[in-house]
Amino acid sequence: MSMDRRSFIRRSAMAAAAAALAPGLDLGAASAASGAAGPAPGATGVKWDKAPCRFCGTGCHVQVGVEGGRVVAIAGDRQAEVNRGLLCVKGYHVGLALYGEDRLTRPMLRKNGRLEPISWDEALDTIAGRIMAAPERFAFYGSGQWTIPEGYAANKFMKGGLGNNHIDPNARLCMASAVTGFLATYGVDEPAGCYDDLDAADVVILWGNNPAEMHPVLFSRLIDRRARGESVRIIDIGTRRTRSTEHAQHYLEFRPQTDLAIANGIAHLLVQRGTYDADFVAKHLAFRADSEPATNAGKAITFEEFKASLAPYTPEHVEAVSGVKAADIRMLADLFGDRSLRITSLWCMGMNQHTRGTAINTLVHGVHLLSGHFGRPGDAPTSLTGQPSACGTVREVGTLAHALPGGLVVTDQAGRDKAEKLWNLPPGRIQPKPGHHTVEMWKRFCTPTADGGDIATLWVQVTNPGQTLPNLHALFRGKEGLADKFLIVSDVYPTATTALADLVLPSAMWVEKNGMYGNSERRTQQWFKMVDPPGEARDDCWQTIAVARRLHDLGHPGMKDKDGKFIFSIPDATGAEVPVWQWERYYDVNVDRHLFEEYRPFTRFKHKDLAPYDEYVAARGLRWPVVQQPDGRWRETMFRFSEFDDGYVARGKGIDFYHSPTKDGRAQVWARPYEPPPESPDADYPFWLCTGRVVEHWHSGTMTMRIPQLRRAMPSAYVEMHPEDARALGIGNGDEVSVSTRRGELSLPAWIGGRGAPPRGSLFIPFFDETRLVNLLTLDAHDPFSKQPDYKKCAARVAPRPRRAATAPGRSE
Amino acid sequence: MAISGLIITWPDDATRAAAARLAVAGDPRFELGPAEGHRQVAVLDTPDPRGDREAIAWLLGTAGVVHADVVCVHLDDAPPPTARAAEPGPACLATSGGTPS
Repeated sequence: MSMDRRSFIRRSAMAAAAAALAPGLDLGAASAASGAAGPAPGATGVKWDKAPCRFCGTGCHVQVGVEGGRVVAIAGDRQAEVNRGLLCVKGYHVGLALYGEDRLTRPMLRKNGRLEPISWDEALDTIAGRIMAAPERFAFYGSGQWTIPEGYAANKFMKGGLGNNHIDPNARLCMASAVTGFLATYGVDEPAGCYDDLDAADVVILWGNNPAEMHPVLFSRLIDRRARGESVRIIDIGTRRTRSTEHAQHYLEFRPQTDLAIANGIAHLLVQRGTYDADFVAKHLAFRADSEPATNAGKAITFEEFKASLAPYTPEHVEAVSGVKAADIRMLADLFGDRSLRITSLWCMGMNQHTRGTAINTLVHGVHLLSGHFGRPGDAPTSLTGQPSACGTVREVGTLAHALPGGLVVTDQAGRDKAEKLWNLPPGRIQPKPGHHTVEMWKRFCTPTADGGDIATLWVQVTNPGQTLPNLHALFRGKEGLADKFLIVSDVYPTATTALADLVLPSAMWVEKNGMYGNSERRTQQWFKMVDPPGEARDDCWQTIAVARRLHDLGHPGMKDKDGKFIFSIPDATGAEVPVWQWERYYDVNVDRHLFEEYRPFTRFKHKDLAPYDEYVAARGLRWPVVQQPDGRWRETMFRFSEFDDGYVARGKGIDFYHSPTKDGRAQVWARPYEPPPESPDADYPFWLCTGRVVEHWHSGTMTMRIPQLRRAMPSAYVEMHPEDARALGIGNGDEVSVSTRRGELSLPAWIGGRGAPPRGSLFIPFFDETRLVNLLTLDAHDPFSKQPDYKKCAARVAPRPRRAATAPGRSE
Repeated sequence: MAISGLIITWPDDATRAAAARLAVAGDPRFELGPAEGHRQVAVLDTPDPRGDREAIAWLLGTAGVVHADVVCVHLDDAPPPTARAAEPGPACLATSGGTPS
C-alpha cells in the first residue's frame, strides 16, 4: 500500500464527508486531488438515477451512479426530504451489496442431497406441479423487502388466485404489534405523524429504541437541531445503555416487560392530578379494555372504569415493578401534563417484539391521547420500521395472513366483496378464514404431515427465516428429514435458509429491477431498473407471475378471472396482452406500473390514497393520503387526522379519527395491565437475554456481510455483558463463552465495556451473524393479537469456554 | 488500514467547542476538514479496524464532542472475507465520477 494510495483514500473520505455535510463546501486541495463531491457535469460516463436505499425502513434516497452496466457510485440524495443528502455507513455501501462473489445465478434443485443447477422451465414446472397437487397445503412466506408490486402480485396470486390465505411476511416478526396497536387505537394502521415531528418536538422519548444505531439518519436530525442551538430533550427508556443513551438527558432503565407499568404509571398521574387534557378526552376519545375471550376489538368501558384500572400504578408501585425511580415516573407525567411542550415518542422492535406488544403499543398511544399530545407537529406517537417496505408492502398491500390490500380483511364479507370486484373474480373466490401466521406456518411446515403439519410446500421470497425465525430448532430445523416437505427459496445469496432448501431460485435485487417501497412515514417511493441481474437471476415478481401462468396452463381455475382472463393479464399500449410470464418479454411493458395502478383503487377504502405511478417517478416519495387538488396537483399529507393538514378532516372538527373502531370519530384509550413475561431468569438460567441489531449490518447480514468494509468493521457476533457479571464468572474481554437457554446453546466471544452496556444480569447478542445463530436460543412465545414473537427477553445462562467450539450451525453448503 | 470520513458535531458553547476541536486536532489519527456551522468534516486514519473503533470511542468520549456521524469507511489490508465484493476499493469514492442529478 503506497502512501499515494493512502493519501488518495484520505482525500476521498474527506470529500465524501464534505459532500454529506453540505453541497458546495470548499474542500480546497482535497477535492482537487480526489475529484470527489465536486460538481463536474458530464465529466465521466457515469449515469445517475434515484432510488430509496435497500436497507432499513427510514427510506433514505440515494443517487445511484451506473457505468458500463454496473453500479459504480452511491451518493446521498440532497433532494430527498428524508435524508437531505446524508446516509449512514450502510447506505454509503449499498451499491456493493449487488456484487458479492457468491451471487446465486442459476436455479438449483436438490438431487441426492445436493443442489444441482436446473433450467428455469424445470424450476417453474416443479413449483406448479407441487401446488397443483395440493394447493391448500401450499404457503408463501414473503417480506417487508418485497417491493409493493411484488407483494401485491403474491397476495393476489394466493388470496385471489389459489383461494388460499396462507401468505405471511417476515414483517410479522418486526412490526405486527405496531399494526394491532394502531388498529386497536385508531381503527386504521400506520402513524399519524411523520419525520417532520422530529424537527418540531421539544421532547423525544425513546421507548426501548436505539435510533442512533438503527435509524442513524433520523437520529442525526435531532443531533443537528441541538447543534444549531435548539433545545431537544431526549429521554431513553431502555433495558440497556446504547449509543442513543449517550445523547439522552435522562436514561430510565427498566426491567424487561415492565414498560407497561411505566406507561400505566404516567397515565395514573395524569388522571390523579387532573393534568390530562379533559377537552381532548371529551371530544375525541373513548375507552376500552380486554374482553373475554380476548380480541383486538375488546369491550367499551367508561372513563371511570379506565381510571380505576390505573389505580394500582402509583409511582412507588411502578418503581417496585420496573426499577425506574418514582421521581422519574413523576418527571414523565410532568412532561405529558404540560401542553406547551411538543412530545414525540419513537419505538421499534423493543415494543413490538414483546408478548405484550399490542398492549404496550396501545398504552403509549393512550398516554399521548390522554394528555392531548397528538395532532400538532412534534406531538406524535410514532413507530419506526426496520425493513424498507414493511409499511408499503406488508401493511398497505396487506400481505399478512388475515389481510387484503388497502386495509381490508378476509374475515369481512364486505372486504372480500370489494377485493373480488376490483380483481374481477367470481364471488366466493377469496376465503374468509385467515391463513397461518408466521410462527404457525413454520410450525406446521416443520411438523410431520401425519401429526397435523398441513403445510407441505413453502415458498420463501426476499427473506432469510433460517436465521431470523425464533426458536430455530423447532421452527426451521424441524424440516430436516421430513421427506414430503418441500422448501422453495428465492434469494440473491446462499443463506441459512437456502441451506435447507429443496429448490433455490436466483433473484434480481434492488436496482436490478423496477421497484416501489413504502417507508415508516407513509412515504411511497419508486425507482427504475438500472443494471441487469447476474446470470439467470430474475425478478421475484416475474417468478410469481410465471408460476401463476404455469398453473393457468395446467388448468387451475383460480388463475382466471370471471371473464376467463389470466389474473395477471397485462396489456401494452394498444391493448394487446403481453406475455410477461416469458422472461424475455417481461420488460416489454412496465409491469410495476400496471400492478400499481391496479392496486391504487384499494388504497381509497381506508383513505390511504396513492397518486398515479408517474407522480412517484417525479418525486422523492410522497406521503399518503395523496389527494388530487382542484388544480390537478397531487398533495401529500404529513399529519393525518388533523384538520390543518389532512383533507379528509371536515372543517371545524380540528381532529377527526375518521376510521374510529367505534365509528364515531373517537380514538380508543386502552386499559392494559402489566403482566409478567412467559419466561424469566431463575436459578438455572439466571440472565436475561436480549437480541437485536448493530449499525454496520442490516438484519441477517446476507447483504452487509458481503460488503468488505462492513464485514471487516463488524466481522462476527458477540455477547455483551456487564463487567461485574464477567468478573464473577471469570470471563475476560474477548473470551469465548457459552450462552445457553432451554432451547439451545451458542458459543461466541464476550464483549465487555463495548458499544452497548447491559445492566447486571443481562446479556445482548446481535443476530446478523449466520455462523452464530442466536435464534437457536430465542423463545417463540408471541403476542396473542399480533402473533409477533418476543426476541427481547428470555432466560439464559453464560459460562466460559476453554476454546471456541462450533456448536452454532452454519451453512451446510 | 482503516480510514473513515466523519462529520463531527461541536457544542453551542464556543469555548467548549474550541477546546474539543483542539483536542481532536491534536490527535494525529484525525485530520480536520472544512466546517459548516457546528459541524465539521474529519478524516480518521488508523492502522486497523480495532484502532478505528477505539478512536471513535475516544472521540465520542471527548468532552465537547456532541456527535460523530461516520459517512464512509475504507478498510484495507485485512484478512479477506469469505464473500468478497467484486469491486474492491473505497466505497467513499462513490461520490466521484460526475454529478448526481
